[in-house]
Amino acid sequence: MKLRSERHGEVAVMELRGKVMGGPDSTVFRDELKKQLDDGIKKVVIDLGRVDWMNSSGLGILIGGLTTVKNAGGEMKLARTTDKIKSLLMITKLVQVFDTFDSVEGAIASFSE
Amino acid sequence: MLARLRESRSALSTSGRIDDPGVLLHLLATVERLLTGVSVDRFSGMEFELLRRMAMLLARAVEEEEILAAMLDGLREVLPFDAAGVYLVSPEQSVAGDDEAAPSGEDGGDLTLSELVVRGYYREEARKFRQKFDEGIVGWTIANSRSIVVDDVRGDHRYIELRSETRSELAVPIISRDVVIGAINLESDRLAAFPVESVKLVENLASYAAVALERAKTHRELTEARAVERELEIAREIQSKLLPKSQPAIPGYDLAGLNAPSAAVGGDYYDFIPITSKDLGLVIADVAGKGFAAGMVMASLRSALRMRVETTYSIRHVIATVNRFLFDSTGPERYVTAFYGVLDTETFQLTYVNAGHNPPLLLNPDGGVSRLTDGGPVLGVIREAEYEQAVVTFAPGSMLVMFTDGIIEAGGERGEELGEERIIATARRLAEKPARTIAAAIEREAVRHHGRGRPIDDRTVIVVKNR
Repeated sequence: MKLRSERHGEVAVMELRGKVMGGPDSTVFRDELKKQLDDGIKKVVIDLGRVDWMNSSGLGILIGGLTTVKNAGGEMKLARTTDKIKSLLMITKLVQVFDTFDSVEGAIASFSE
Repeated sequence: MLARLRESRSALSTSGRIDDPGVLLHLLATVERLLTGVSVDRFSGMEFELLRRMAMLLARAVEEEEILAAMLDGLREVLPFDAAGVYLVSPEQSVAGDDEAAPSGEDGGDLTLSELVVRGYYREEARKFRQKFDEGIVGWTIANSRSIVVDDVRGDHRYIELRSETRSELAVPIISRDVVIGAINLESDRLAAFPVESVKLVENLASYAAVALERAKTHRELTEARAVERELEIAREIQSKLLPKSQPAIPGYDLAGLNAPSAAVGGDYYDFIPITSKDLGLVIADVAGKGFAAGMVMASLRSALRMRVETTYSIRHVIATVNRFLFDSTGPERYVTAFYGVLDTETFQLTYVNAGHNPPLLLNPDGGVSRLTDGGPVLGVIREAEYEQAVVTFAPGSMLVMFTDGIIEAGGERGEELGEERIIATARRLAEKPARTIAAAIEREAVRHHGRGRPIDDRTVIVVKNR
């Protein structure tokens, strides 16, 4: 997994790429998310458009992230979920837990609504 | 003299305490160098005795502090000093709120020196030594990978005062595998206390120190790896004991369950739980993640489920209770996908709840397939989640195939998952065979599809046939 962060105003966009499979990926993601929250960020978008594959541990990373952001009084949204991730969310019936958007811009815009 | 060295060499090779062949070779090479390179005869008897003692100590002791302390104390008898230290180059501890500092790593900008063993300093003086690695005379030695003798420190601009009494100083780098990892530093209250000949002796000691440090590191890594391996063994043992040892024999039915654990302990779980003489509980579950923690969650899931099953008949309440239990007892990243069904073996009714698990497939004799999806979210994520239960008819001639993601997602990492279609095709093709044969064939196909010799997830398959 590769991870890259960008700021769009007060929104942090974290882009995940490649295979998201838990283990070391989880630590990388948690550390970056914590850094964002420590910087005072409350609005986080996870861009998943370039994720090749995700397994159940990978989904665990997103669930952990959502919990962390909520506990910090913030909001986390998913953008550009791939078919594999949509299928994972369907099977695990966690669709209603995540706010998902087709584009990063849409996810960013949703915060101001 | 040569005979004595050979003696110490054989003591080294037969000590049996040096586990890493690389370190052993390094150690032997050091002794070899003493035998051939440096002229042994130039050492006085005391110096030679010190080196011999160090070699013996290296063969026995593992703690680097013990070896290095003995080294400094022994050295003091041969080469009198008033203060000394063995220092290590180590990465800077990150300082909070200092993110703009130079990045740590290759450029060495964030390295500091810390003392490992010191002699002759007051506590305060020693503490002052936490300096950047390129400062002072020790810093110069490390930065230039060269030994240095300073006869009068008062005339040397590199000198940083730790003891006001110090007049002369000797610093020698400790080099391990071509990298400077630290330094030995000696200070004296006398001017020009360290003759040039003494440099060679301290350099030889430094190569012993390098071996001691390298070996202690290897030893620590080995010990840690063994502890982890032992933990995994225990977890594997626990896990295998929690899975059913045999299938219940139920007239008119053929059942088989199969679990193939991955190298790491996984969190797959399946169970056949007899509830009444005609009702049989069927469970398949998968804890997200691997390792000891996943195995522990699996064990607590099993006991939670088995305990609740005996007291509550309503399946969805059993699952809701287990969900709350898991939410309270696991971290946010850990969740469990589970399918729990109760089969009335007389009326062929299967009542079930699917908590976010890959849908079990009910293959009907007419060629149709029902995916058993009803239920609710995975366990352990939403504390107040509600679960619905559904009922399907498990008619004679039908087959129920349940599995974990290690089966259906096999090969996904490479680009193509095994998928439902292949599982259905295999089950149909072997429909007349015993349940055990079908389960094994599905598992084999998952492994083949995934590619042999690659790390693979736990694989669990249950096949139930209503004859």
